[in-house]
Amino acid sequence: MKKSVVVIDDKPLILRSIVQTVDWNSLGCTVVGQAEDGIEGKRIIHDKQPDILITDIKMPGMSGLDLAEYMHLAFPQSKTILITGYQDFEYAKRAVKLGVYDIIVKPVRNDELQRIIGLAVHELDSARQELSQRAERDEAFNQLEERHQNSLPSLRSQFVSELIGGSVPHDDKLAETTASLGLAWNRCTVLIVRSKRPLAAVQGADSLSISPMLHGAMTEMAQLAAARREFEIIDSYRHDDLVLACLFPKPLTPRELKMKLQSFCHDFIELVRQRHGLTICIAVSPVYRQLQDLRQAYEGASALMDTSFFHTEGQVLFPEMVEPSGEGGKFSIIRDLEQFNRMLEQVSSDEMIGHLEQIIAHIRAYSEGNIRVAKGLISDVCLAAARYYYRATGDEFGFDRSINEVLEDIYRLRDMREASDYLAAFIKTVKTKLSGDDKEYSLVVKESVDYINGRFAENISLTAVAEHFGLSPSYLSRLLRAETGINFVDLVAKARIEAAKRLLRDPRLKVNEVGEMVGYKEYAYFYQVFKKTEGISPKEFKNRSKES
Amino acid sequence: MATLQLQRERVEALIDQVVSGMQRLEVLIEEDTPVSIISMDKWDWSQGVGLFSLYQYYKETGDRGILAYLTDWFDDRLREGLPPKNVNTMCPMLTLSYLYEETRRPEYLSVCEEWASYAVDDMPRTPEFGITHVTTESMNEGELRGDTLYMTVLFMGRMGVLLKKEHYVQESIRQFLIHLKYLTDTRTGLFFHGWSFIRRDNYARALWGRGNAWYTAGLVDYLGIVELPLGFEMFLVASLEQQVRKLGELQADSGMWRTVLDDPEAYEETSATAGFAYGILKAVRKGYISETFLGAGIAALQAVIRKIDANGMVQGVSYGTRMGHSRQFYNRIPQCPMPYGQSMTLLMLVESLHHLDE
Repeated sequence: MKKSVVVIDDKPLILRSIVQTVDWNSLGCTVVGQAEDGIEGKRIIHDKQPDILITDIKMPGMSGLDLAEYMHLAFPQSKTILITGYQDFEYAKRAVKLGVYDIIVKPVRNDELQRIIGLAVHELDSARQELSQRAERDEAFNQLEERHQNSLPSLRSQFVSELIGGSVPHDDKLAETTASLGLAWNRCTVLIVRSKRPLAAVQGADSLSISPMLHGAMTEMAQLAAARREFEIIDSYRHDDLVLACLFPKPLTPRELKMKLQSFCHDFIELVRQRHGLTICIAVSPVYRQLQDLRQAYEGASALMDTSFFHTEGQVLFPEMVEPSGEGGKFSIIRDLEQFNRMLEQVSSDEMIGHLEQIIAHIRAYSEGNIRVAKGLISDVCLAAARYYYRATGDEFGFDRSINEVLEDIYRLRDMREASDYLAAFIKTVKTKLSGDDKEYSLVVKESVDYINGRFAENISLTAVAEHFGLSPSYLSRLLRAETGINFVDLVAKARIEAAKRLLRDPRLKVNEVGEMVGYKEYAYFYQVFKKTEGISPKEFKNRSKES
Repeated sequence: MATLQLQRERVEALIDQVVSGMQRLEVLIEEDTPVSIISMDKWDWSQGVGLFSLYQYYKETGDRGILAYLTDWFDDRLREGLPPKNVNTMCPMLTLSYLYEETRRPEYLSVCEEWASYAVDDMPRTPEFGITHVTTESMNEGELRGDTLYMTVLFMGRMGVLLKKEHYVQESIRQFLIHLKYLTDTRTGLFFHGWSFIRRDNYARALWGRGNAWYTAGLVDYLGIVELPLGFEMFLVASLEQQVRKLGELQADSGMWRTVLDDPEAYEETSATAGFAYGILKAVRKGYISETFLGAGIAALQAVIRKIDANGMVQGVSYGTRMGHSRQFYNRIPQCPMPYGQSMTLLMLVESLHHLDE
């Protein structure tokens, strides 16, 4: 790019000489303006913004020094060359102060002027080059900085995930990495976040894990809530769970930490509920000082989350909520179960349900946080109730649900409150079914029902059963109807269909084989009875059980 | 346990052959009917059965080419003008009612509504209000025939469901009951070809193969089309089982059935065998009858496949058969490829896709 030059001299001859005789082209310059006095000169400088100013010092209106000063102030990068008739030290001193590039003494020699302009041009070029290089460097630096900032969250997540996964680098390396990731902490803790109830629309039917689709949005909400409380959240993902590491930059007391975490959890739960209609629960690990302990913190939170089966009340689980083992734990349980069995026979349904709180509390204490133990004991309570029903009625198939279905229900229970509700409903069913005026089946009916349930696969007839017990068929028939509410044929059908439903779930058995196994020689008859009681044909039942 | 030992590719190749065979049928024998029942571009029962099988195949595969063939076929016929309404010309309507659901074209629905209303309210009736088997060539006064169930009553039940007209469904139930009352051979559980209220007998008491096959195939589809009261459903399912039980006894070693089912001298007939195979395989799959009958269905399927020649023509199919007054009459009916032979084979092949050893 050509440099622009303005030449100012009050002597037209000198002015013309400079403008016309210097080889501007070879210097890479163009004269963009000239003037014969200082005032006009200043205007031209203002208009043309030259790179180089060549001016006489002594001029009417404004001196060359004034112009040099103006030039330097307005365009600091520019170069001013002064022409003077005197070798005056004072001028020179002032000129240097003003940042003048050089001073030429009259008479002006073209070759010297040309040399000095050449030097000025060279200096202008290198200054400009340096400027543009610096701009490039700055630009590149900014880009790098930005990229680093963008990838920082995922780098932090990755780093924290590794720590939680148990791979801890050496101390030096750790310090280096945390510094480069801008992590500052004095205390740290780990939170595990899960859904409180499965939301079929959002995630897999039975899973309580937070759907990965919500992961990002929820982390943002948590970070927002954390920033207000002066700590940082770094998200991680482990065993399908949303795991949040909390880093507290200040050394807080346990009480302060707890308060911050409590109010944070409260806000976070509320935010998630409002934005996503999702009820979550959070397990909070004990607080540690070292990032190396994040693994341990995660394990603590994870163990705590498992105990949520026993903690049905709050949505936030803190470590101190877990009862220390031994304290409050019980060593015996059989006595409680036995007592419960006796009560089944002796007290009313409502009293039983009142007592349920107690047995649930005992089961909880005995299990000491072991879900399998708790569910095993709950199963025993249900089975006891079912056996009691059988003893009273002789009818194994009297419930709407078979024993395998009951055990599956218990396996799927999500917390102790559900367990308590389930037990209450189950006991109520048993008691209500038996309470038909609080009357147990008479011995004959009990035995007859048992006889039917044991032999339904054979060609069983009312006459045969009556004969077996030494009764007249019509008497037995009346007795059965009076006590069970249904007649002999329906009792047999009920036993057969209940058995058929279990057998139909077996993929090895064909529908007609099942029909024959439960006592229907005629396929069409089996079809009819089954469809009448279940509303769908046995084949459809089989197909559905295959799908589920 | 009988297994199919067929590959999907093989069945699909057979289906393509049989479909293209159906579309290339030519009138090779001298027909004795006023309207050709061989040529595919006429509107009658024989073509109607073929259309329904093509529709089922379309539903199975989603092949838009078949759907286009069907809508083109109906558009051409509607443009030419429809024949007079009777039991047999009613047959293509079943397919049209399904095409209405596919295309939502109002002109299809209005034709269906008009014809269904005719079947329910205006069709000539016998004593006891059975549908008289009126055809293009004869009034057949006072005559009930098993084919009526397949040709007209399926459509009637179907329209009751489509239009939510309960009395259409009830009328279809009543027609099934009266036909079963007069056509069931109580000795065997099979069905006679016809009943005359004028003669008050079952003509030659012929247990005609294809007539029985239409009962088997049509009934299975009827159970799928209409949600029936359990009592009536059981009545039909039990009748079906009785029939299939007897068929099992009468099936030839070849896997085929004869054109007169209980006559060892009669020739083996392919369309009846294909219809039985379709009905039995589907009834077993749907759980209407016991799986012990699967073997008979598979043997029949394999026998029919052997009757498909290199050009995709299904051989050994008896020509359209009127009411016979002697058993010999049925034996003298000539055999040649026919649309219903192709289409009953096609129904069977499409159904067999559900039974592959996969």
